[in-house]
Amino acid sequence: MPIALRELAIEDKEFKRKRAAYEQIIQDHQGALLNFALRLCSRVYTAAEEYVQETLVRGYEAYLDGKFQEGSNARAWLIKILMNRFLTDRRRDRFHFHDSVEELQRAKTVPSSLHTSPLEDPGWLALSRTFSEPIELALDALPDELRIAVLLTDVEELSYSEVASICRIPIGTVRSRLFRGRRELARWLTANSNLHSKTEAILRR
Amino acid sequence: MNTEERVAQIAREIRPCRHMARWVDSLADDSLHGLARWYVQLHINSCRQCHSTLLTIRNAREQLLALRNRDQMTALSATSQSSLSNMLDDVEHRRNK
Repeated sequence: MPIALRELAIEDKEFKRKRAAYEQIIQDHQGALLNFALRLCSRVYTAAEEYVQETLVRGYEAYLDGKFQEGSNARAWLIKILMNRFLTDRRRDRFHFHDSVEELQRAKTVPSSLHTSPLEDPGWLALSRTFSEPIELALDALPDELRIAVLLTDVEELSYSEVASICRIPIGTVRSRLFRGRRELARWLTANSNLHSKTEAILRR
Repeated sequence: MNTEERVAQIAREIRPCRHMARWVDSLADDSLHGLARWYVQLHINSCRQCHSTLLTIRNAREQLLALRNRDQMTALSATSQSSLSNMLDDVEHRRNK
């Protein structure tokens, strides 16, 4: 076999090996990534799926460049890529630009404001069977920056320094956002402690 | 006790001493170590406000941690998976050029 052809074959084999290894990473983490993105995007499914796809493609590019160390935390690595994209979009307001208010209202299954009573929204009621966990609703009611801090620390279990590095903020700011976020969560949960049973009762009518 | 009274109570419960606010959170998620941990723990043992803040935060945190075990989505939709596969092929083709 000519040398050039042999090199090509080796390269091809290497691509296949890397692709198989990366597909295993996708297999292992796509569900977790999608759940994270759904919470991040207040359950706008199309936006969440788009973020996950984009993350996995960017991740593959980085993986081929050798930027991922085998055996390190792939989930945290992918979350970091997703968050980079999300925060960039947020700065450019792309996320909100993509969704008209009506589309956002349709796609969301929970209230966006702490001051809105979800029981007044028939669309929310119809879909709330699936997403009626009070803690999910409480998370969704948090302002973006507090939700991000709480999600990364308390759901994804990243360290303060990892969160600070992802969000590009000082550790002190992470601490203060966490404190405010958890306090708001506790308030929301208390104020809506009978929400789940009320919703179920209305849905049964 | 009605809901409004309960919310007011929670607001009072999660008002730790000013100089402890951030540290109580760190204690709640076990990210505080060494002398700082010892000091905050010592303060909490003797301060009702901070102690009840700690309990409230721990409770919310436990519920958040449990979320991951109840996650509903396990994979991208079939359409998305197929388009993802094409996107990965494109990445390879771009690199092969």
